[in-house]
Amino acid sequence: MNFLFTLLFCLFPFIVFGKTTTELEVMTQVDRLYRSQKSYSSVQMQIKNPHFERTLKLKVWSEEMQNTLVEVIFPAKEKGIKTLRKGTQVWNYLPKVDQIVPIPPSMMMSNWMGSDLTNDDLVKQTTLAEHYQGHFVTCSQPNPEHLCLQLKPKNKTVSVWAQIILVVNKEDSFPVRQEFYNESGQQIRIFEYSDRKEIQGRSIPTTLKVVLLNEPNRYTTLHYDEIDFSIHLQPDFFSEAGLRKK
Amino acid sequence: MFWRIALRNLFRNKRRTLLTGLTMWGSYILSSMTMGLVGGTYGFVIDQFTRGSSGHLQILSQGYLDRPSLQNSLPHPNEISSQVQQALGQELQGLAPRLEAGGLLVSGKEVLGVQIIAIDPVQEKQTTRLLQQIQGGSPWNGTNANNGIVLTRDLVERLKLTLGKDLVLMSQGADGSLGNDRFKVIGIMNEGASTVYLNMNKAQEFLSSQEVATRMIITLKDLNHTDEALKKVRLLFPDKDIQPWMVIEEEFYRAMKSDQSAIFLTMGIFLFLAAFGVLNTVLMAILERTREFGIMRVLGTQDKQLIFVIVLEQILLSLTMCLFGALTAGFLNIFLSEHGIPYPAPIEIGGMTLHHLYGSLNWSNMLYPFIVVVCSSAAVSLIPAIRSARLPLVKALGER
Repeated sequence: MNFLFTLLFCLFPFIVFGKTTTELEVMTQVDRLYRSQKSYSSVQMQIKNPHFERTLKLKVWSEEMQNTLVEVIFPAKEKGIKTLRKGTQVWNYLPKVDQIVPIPPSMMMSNWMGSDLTNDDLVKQTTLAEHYQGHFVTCSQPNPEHLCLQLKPKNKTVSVWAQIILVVNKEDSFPVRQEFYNESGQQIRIFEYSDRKEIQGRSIPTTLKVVLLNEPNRYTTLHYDEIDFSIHLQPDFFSEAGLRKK
Repeated sequence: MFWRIALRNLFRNKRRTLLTGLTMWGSYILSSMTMGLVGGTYGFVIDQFTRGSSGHLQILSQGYLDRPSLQNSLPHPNEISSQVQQALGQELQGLAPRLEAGGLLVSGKEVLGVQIIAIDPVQEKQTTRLLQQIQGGSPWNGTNANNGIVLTRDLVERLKLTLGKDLVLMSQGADGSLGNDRFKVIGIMNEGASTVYLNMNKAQEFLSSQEVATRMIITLKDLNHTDEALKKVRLLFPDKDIQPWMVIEEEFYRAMKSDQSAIFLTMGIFLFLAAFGVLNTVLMAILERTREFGIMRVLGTQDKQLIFVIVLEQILLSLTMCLFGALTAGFLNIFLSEHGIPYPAPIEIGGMTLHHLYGSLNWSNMLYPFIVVVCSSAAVSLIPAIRSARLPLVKALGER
């Protein structure tokens, strides 16, 4: 699934749609929301865990679902570090040593910049309608305004999640929460969407909270300070050469 | 009286007594030396291995062995160090902090995942032989103190590097930040796979881990005092995980244990053969005296008394010869523990190359052969003694 980085870095907004009736329609609509042209955003990432707490300020550019470039602008120690995702590959640019480092497969499950997101989260490209089978279910926390969709990977889908519960607004399919379960039926992490805003005609949750449930007091919050869907990027922007450009 | 008869019997046929005694003496020495060589060689391997890197004891944070992480580190290693020094006193040889993390090593277009181990060269030198394994001697001197990196030979070959080359290392710090810096190759470690070594001061800054260590390595003057030292350090730090080398280097320990089981079986067979040699000699020595025992019975010696005298003779003889054997074997074991026997070609045990077979002297390789020789002599003499006591007098007197 591309839940995180479609929201985070690809910035595919959740546009308000009309009432949905079938599971496939909800999934397709959410998938369609992930489709986007070029975009730019300024994001604050707050990381909190039992060992440390830190805030990062990021600039994010994205193009379709394929390309994403993230630049750290705060803290000063890491200023200028860039992460480029192109297709299924990820590179880091380290300005201190002027070095581009491709992330090897063995490091894909490592944390990205100390957050609760992994490098692997950057490159996932599955779509709900194509890779998951959805069924409406009764929500575990009943709310007349919400619809709950149980998503199970199709036979050919490779996924670490045995089940995802997608909670959306009944009215417009706007996402509220996603719950991720492992094969033992244990809830592992939650994405919580909030701070809905209308930006350039699109309805977007400008805050995403990623909560890992295996450790208390551990979460990562992403807040969008600025979003622009009308940007123009050079053809080589998402390239190794582009990484070195100031 | 029986003691006197037994002693007189031993001296009556000196050649026979000497022959039987020599068998006992030889069996004792061979058994003791075999045990000494096995114990000595394994002791040498364990000592070399533990002093090589792991130390005899390690202090870690609770849960670190299961989930190694910079965040689960030991604060204030200097304070831990001084407390351990006070508790162990003269038993302690050295104590050194280590800081470990995962990282990516970048050289040209090559990127490899590596384990980063940071060491304090001064303390490490007093504690383990890790620095001695670095080609070109002790690094991190003078100008190399900060950005010098030591790579294993495996990494150097895979990345086609040489001393003096630059490379980039990146890793996540304890505060989640992305540490990255350029380092110069200043040494090559002969052992190990994907590991790089940094100077502790530089690594603490690089990994945003000031005033912490992930392990404290403790080496004792005598490996055999590990259990006592373990108890003392555990009492000192009840909230920390203190583990002996057997747990830290579990794979090596298991390999040694498995090898030792096979060796103990071989030693058991060897001791059995020694007992069998004693049996053969004693049996012949007693059977050829059947007529003599018949005469003793005619003169009024009771069956029980006869059996007692025969067994007593062998016990006295075996005790005497074992004492001589202990002196000889003790000398040989000490000699072999110091000088060893060179192998025609080096052999490998537990990942370590051995050039000599070393002996050792301890209570087990002196006591067990003693028990085996004395008990087997007594047991073996019992059967022909009973036979002599029960044999009809006419038949006994007729035997030559």
